[in-house]
This record gives sequence, structure tokens and C-alpha cells, in this order.
Amino acid sequence: MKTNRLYPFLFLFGAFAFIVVMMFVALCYSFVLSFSGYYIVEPNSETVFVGLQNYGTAFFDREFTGSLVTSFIFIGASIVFQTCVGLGLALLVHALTSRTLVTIMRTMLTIPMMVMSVASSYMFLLMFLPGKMGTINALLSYFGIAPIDFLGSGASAMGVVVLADAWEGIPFVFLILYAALQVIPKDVFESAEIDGCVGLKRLRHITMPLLAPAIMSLLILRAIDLWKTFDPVYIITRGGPYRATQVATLYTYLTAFKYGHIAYSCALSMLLILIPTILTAITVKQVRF
Amino acid sequence: MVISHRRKRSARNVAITVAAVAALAIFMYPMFVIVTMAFKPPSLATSPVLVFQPSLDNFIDMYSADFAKCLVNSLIIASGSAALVTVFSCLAAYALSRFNFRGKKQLNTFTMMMRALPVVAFVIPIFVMISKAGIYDTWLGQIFTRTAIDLTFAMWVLRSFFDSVPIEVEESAMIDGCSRLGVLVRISIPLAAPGIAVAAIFSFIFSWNDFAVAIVTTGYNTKTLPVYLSAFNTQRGLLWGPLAAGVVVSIIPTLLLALAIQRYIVKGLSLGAVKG
Amino acid sequence: MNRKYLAISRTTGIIAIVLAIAIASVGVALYYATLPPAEKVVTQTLTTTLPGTTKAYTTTEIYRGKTLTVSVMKEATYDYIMEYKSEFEEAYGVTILVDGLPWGGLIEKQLISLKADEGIYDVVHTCCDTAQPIYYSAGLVEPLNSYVERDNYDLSDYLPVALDYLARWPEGARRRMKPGGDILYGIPTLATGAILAIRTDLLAEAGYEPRNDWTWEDFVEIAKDLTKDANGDGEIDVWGTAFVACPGYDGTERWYLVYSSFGGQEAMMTDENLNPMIDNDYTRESLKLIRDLWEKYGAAPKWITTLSPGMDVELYKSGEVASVWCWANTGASLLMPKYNKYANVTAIVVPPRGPTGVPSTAFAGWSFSIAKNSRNKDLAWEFVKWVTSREMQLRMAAGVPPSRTSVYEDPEAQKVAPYFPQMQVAFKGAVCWPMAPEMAEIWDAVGKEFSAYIGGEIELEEAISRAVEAIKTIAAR
Repeated sequence: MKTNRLYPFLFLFGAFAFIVVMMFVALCYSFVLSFSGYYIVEPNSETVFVGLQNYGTAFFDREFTGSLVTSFIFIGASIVFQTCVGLGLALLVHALTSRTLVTIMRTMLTIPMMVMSVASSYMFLLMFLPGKMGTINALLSYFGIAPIDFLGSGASAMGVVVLADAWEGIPFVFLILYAALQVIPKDVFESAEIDGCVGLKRLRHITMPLLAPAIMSLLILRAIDLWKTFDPVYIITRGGPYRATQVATLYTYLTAFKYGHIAYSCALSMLLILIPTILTAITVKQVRF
Repeated sequence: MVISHRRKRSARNVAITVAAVAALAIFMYPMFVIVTMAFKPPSLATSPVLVFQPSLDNFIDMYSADFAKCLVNSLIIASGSAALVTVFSCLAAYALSRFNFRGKKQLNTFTMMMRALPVVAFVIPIFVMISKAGIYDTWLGQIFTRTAIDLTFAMWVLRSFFDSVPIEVEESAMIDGCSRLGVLVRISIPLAAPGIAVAAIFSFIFSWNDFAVAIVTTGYNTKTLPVYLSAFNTQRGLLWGPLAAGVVVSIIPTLLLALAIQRYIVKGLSLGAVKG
Repeated sequence: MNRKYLAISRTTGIIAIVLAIAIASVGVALYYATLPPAEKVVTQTLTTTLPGTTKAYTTTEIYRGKTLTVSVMKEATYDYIMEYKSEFEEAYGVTILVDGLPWGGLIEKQLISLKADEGIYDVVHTCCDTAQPIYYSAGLVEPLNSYVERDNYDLSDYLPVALDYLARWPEGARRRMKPGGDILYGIPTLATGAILAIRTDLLAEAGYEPRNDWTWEDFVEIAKDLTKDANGDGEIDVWGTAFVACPGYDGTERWYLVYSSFGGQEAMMTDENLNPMIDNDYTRESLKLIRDLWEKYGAAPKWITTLSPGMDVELYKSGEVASVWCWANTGASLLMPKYNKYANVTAIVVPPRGPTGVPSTAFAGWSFSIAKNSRNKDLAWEFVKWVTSREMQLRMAAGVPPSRTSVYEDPEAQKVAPYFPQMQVAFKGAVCWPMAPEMAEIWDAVGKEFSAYIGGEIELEEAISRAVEAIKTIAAR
């Protein structure tokens, strides 16, 4: 409905004022800094203009490119894991007949979202510690299994981090997919059953296509959120055995706050925003957003 | 035929129930670890013993003069930012949903871009801006920052909501002489109320649990709960007991809120967000 | 549309929103109502003799009503400051705001504050390995030479090594390889060394006594004997020792202890110009020793490469490990039954020494400095003097290893801190790490390679050559 020109502006002003002032201006500050040679130890280095040097260094920095790859691996594994488990849980709860159980499950499954990510990361650290102190290892020892060194090898450390983040992310996936399942009218399922389409077949031919739009938008949103993951990696593995879990955000953080290369870190942050934006732009074309 | 079908049905139900309970148990295990650790005597904190004498020592250890202040700070900041987010995201999401204007697509992309910003990227600029504006260590600094961050999420959620509210109702109201704003307040918001509740609660939860922004924008006076709890990571080791106790206490408000609108979370999300 | 559904949700929604806005408004109102009254500027002549000042100090400085903001790590020092700060506040008529931050977040916040035009901290609590190299070389804190001269402040009671290592910096230098320098940037408050905590009951079982002069050969034997499978289930229940070998900065710190005991003090990580100097035999011997701990002698678990500092102390406290390296201030807490259930069977000894007779220990500590962008520098100086005074350090002796010689030798203090004698021995041979702002990155990179070697993933020569490569790459930037 095209009406008064002023209306959209008024409505949007409040929200975008906040976003622009707090986030976009901060972004611009970072952007400007990324062209300087700001090294925390060099006095006045924030006024030195170095052009694209920081970006050039980033291109050749093997640790940075490695961290990008690690980020992608992490996101890929996480998305697959979280979507599968979330979908499984949603289907499970949807198929439950006892109303009380449904309510209980719905409530309890949203609890992990409410725990501070710092705290839950510490809990996962405690659970997966090597030696007898780790909770999981202690459980295993009751069954006579030797303690496993979860954090020792790159692959399993990545697994632990994926699990830790999944614990926080699955409730969200579950909620959305469960809601999507609720929306599907019951007669669709009933007529499918009459036609003899049950179980796995029903899943494949009926449920999944109906869920597809929800899953698509969910994937994008989760991917963007996963890109920002920091707490589990920082607390559980600190970058992991030999950089195995050093994701891009962790490396950017370290360059700024541990090594003091602020300008370089700003350049990396710019790149870190660019990549998901480009990916979103590409995928948004296929999904009505 | 009918009988065996019913038996198959109930067998299937039992199987599903068992699977659901098992899944819940596994999923809730870390939570179980946290809660038991909070009530264990301090010396047993990290040991996985299941039989113990429950004690409130951890809660006592966790409590200090600062704790009440941090709790109040967290409450104020979280509700303040939730309130602001709700108000502004309603307006903005409505506009994005109903109005067609130039630059709409770009605004959407811009919002997504801001969403993808990792916190580390703007911690320093935020501090500089906030301390220059003189609102360091006040509630406003934290509230404003969190509002901006949570708005991106809320706008995404609410936009789908408003999309699902049938336009005909609004059109008829406008024909009857209702202004745009009136339509928004009297018709669209009530219809999308579940979604708004969801957005408000999520925004509250995100602000409540936020650490990175809190540590930069708060100081002595406005310290929030997550910053307070992070102090249990001492140089002589992580104090697991008090930390677990703190986590248990900090979950309570969010849990209560979530229980209150529990019905609406699912209904709310199903009304629009799922349509993609 | 279900009318009832509509009615409920609308009301609930509106109530919720109104409530939230109400809470927020009440909060804002409360805040402004409880703001402290505006500072009243009062000229006053104060004559005080506070602990820390060596003479009656008369000043016409305008202090009353001011607020001093101090950034302290949330440790024992923080607790003591909170306990005793009222004494300072009353004497000067000021308010002290202490922002106690945990280790994670402390230096980030301090850096942001120090770098801003108007910071939030007047006094900062600085750590020698991460904060001091950056703050001192970038000149982010105030040089104190003029203050010391003006007040004729007596520095002779401080441990010379503490002053040289934790406070002094050569003028205009970017790096400082050996302690010392002409500019004084802080006053040392905590001096610590790496010590070994060991279980006396397990030692006695194996037929040993805690001693301060173990060599590496002795220690390896002892650790092997302490590693036991107590309940016969085929798994080791108690390990002889746990050596932190995580990839990154912390792992390198621990390795450096062993390295220096083999003679590494002569060849630091790099020289003045960041040329790597670690390609030598000391490196090889020390790395091999650490790896052999689990590989050859079975005295430590294989997963020491996943241990971060703090975790090893946890393992010791849970009884899974019989000995652990720790800093003296951590060691102090291990002797307290409140924090460690094995406190009564824990002994603190000097860590094992290498073939050169040098124990594998290092010197480290914390100082208090005044922020360069502080607006209350004189008051901050008073505070620094007070908090590092003899009286305060005596009070803090139970939890904070002091930086004053007289406190170490005080019999009262020695009673509450029985590890003092070991520390004095440790200080004699302790290595002082080189300080440079690039060290954080270099140690991180080197640590990753060394940890990979210790864990058995790569071979010795490869680890060393890759570490040297990493140092060269970082130095080139």
C-alpha cells in the first residue's frame, strides 16, 4: 500500500537509529582503523596510513586463511548436526501423544538457550576433560572403559566444540521446526496415511517438502550465528590442539587483544563481515526473504 | 485388522515416548551436571559422584555484597533493552512488511550484515563512543548497545509475523478512517502479539546472558550478573561450585519468563516465522 | 479469530510491555536519585602519616571528595584492598572504586582504558608477562621517577630483582631482554616464583622426603615411583606429575622453566632484534625431557598437551596428580584446607634443578602503575604507596607473596606463609623472561610447535625449525 511518503521513514527511524549509531558507526570506526598501522605499542601509529597493507597481509597470513577454513568446517559440521538433531527432536515431539510429555519436552528443550554461553562452555569443558576429572570419562570408568582424551586430537576437539555450541543452538532449531510441523494441517497427514504413505516415506515425500522453506531460512540464520561463535572455542580449546579449532573470530580476537595489532584485527573483522554478507546475498536470491 | 493396527499404533507410541524421554535425558545431561554441582558440597564440586549430601555452601560462597547489585543491574538492563527493542522493532518490522519503498531490499541486506557482525569487531569502538558520550558505567550505555544488537534479531522475527497478518483487516480499518498508526496499534499488534512476546523475551534473554558487551560498557556501578560470575575464574583455578550456583540463580528469572509465555513461543513462531 | 485468544494475548502483551517500560523508568529514576552528590572542591591542608609514607606528609592538594578508580585482578589482592581501603578513604576523604576483574578480561579492559583519551582507571594492576611489556614500552603508564624523588620514597626495601624486572624499563626502548632500566614505571606489589607442590603422603609411601635440591634425574625417578595404579584396574590413578604443555603462550611459559634450568638463561627466546636464539642444545634437551615424562618414563599422562594452567592445579586438588608446578600465590592456597582437601599433606619445594644447578623456576609478579591519562595522578601515587607499603604487605602475606625483603624476613609473616624460604631460594636462580610486546605472539606460535612435539605429533628438528620460522615471520611484520 503506497501511502504517505513520510510513514515508512517515521516507522523505521527508531530502529535504524539505534542500529546505525551503535553498530554501523562502530563498524565505520573499525573500517577507518583498518587502513591505519595501529599497533598498540607504537605511539601514534593510529594516524599512520598504510593503505591496503593490512588486507594484503591477511591474504598471505596462513594462520588467518587456516582459521577461515576451520570456521567453515565448524559451521558445516554444526549446521548438519544441529539441523538433524533439531529435526529429529521436532518430529519426535510432534508424534508424541501425551500432552503433558509434549509440554514438558517443549519447556525443557528451551532451557539450554537461557544458560549463559560462557557457563555452558565451562560445563562442557568439565564434561570432556581428559583423565578422571572429566565427567564423561568418570562415567565411562564406571563401565570399565579407559578415559578418552577428547581434547587431544584435532577432530575430536572439533567434535566437542560442535557439541557445546549445538547444545545452545538446537533449542532454537527445534522450536522453529516444531512450530513448522504444527502448522501443517492434520488432514495432510491423514490423507497420506489413507494412501498408505507412512513412516519414512511420509517423511521424505510429505513432511520434508513442507518443511523446506522453514529449513532454508533456518539454515541461513544459523549459519550467520555460527559464524560468530566465540565462547565455546575460547573456553574449551583455546584454538585447539595445533590450531585445529582456531576459528576466524578467535584469531581476530587474539590479534587485537593478545598481540596488539589493532589495525590488522580491524581489517580481519571487515573481511569477517564481508564473507557472510556475500554468501547471504547469494542465497537470499533463492529464498524469499 | 483394526485391532492389530491399533496395537501397532500403541507399540509405536510407546517406542516414540521412550525415544523422546531418552533424547530429553541425554540433552538435559549438561544441565543436570550444573544443577548437581551447585548443590554439592564445595570439595566435591568436580567429582562426578552421584550420591552426596546436598549443601547450600556454594550459594553462600557465591553470594557477596555485590551480588544483589549485579542482579538488579542485570534486571534493569535486560528489561530496559527488551522494552526498547519491542517498541522499535514493532514499528520497523511493520514498515518493512507493509510498505513498499525504495531501498527496502538494501535495508534487509544491511540488517543481515549487522547481524553477522562478531562482537569482537566492535568492542573497542563501542567503548570509545560510550566513554566519550559520558555514559560509561551507566545503564544507558549497556541498554543502547544491547538494543541495537537485539533489534536485528527482533526485526527478523517480527517481520514474518506481520507478513502473516491478513492485509484485508487493515485495509477495511483504514477505509473506516483509521490512521496507519492506529491500525498498527489496534489491529496488527494484537494479532501478532505472540510474536511480539517472543521477540521481547528473546531480547531479554540475550541481554541477560550477554558478557562481551557487558564487560566493556559496565564498570563498578553497573556490573551485570555474567561479569560477576566470570570472576569465579580465578588464578588459582576455576571455582566450579560457586559458578554453578551462580548459573542456577541466573537461570531462574529467564526460566520464569519463558514459562509464562511458553504457549506463545511455539504458536508465535508458527504464525509467521516458518513460512520463510 | 478466537476472541478469547485475542483478549488474553493482547492484554498480556500490553501488560508485559508496560511493565518492562515501568521497570526501566523506575531504574533510571533510581539511578539518578542515588548518584553521589557533585564533587565539592575544598582546599584543605592535610597532615597524615599513613602506612606507606615514611614521614608526616603535608599537602595542600585538593583530594577530598575525589574518586580514585583502581583496576585490580580479582584475586587475594582485591580481597585485601576491599578489606582495608576504608583506612585510606577516611584519611584522605576520598572514595576508592575498585574494579576487580578476572584474568580473562582484565588486560583487555585496561588496554582499552589506557589507550582512550580519557580513561576510566587511575591505577592499574599490571602483570609482568602480558601487561607490562605493552604498557611500559608504549608509555601508557606514568613514569614514577619524579614522584619518588619528590617524596624521597625509599625503594631499598623492595626486592632488587622485583624492581628491575617488574618496574624498570630502559628509556625509549621497545624491548627489554634483561631486567633493569632507568625509568620506573610501577611499584612492585607481588613477587612470585614458580614452585613445586608435592604430596608428602605419597612421597613417604614411596620412601622419599621432600627436598629442595632435587635434580631432574632425581625428580624423574620420584615421579615414576609416584605414578601408581592404586586400585589395580589397569589404569593409572595417580600420575607423578602433570606438566602444562598446552599449545600457545602458557605452554611456552612452562617449557621456559625447564629450558632455563638447562642453561637457557644465556640464550633467550630471541635477541634484541627478535632474531631467534632457540636453536640450541638446551632447547633440545628440555623438550625431550618434557616429552619423555610421558613417553619414556610414564610419569605424566599423555594428555598434558591439553592442560591449561589451572587445570593442572585442579588435577592436583582432586588427587589425580602427585606434584604440580604452580606460582607461589597459587601454592599458598594449596596449603589452605579451605581450598585443597590435601592441604595437610602438601609441601612446597623448589623445583628440580638442571645440570647447571639452576632450578626450573622463573620470577614473575605484579605491579601497580598510574595511568598516563589519569586526572588524579598525585592521589593515585598516594594509593600506590599505601598498597605496596610494608604494613599492607604484612597484612596480605597469607595470600599474596610480597615484594619487600623485610616482609619475607619477618617471622610473623613466615608463620602464615611457610613457603617463603623456598621462594627466597628460588629467587636466587630464577630466570626472568624477556619482555617485548611481540613476545605474546611469538610465544603463542612457538608454543604451538613445541606442544605438537611434546604430544608426539611431530619430530624434534621439525618443531624447532618451524618455531624458528614462526619467530622470523612475526619479527618481519
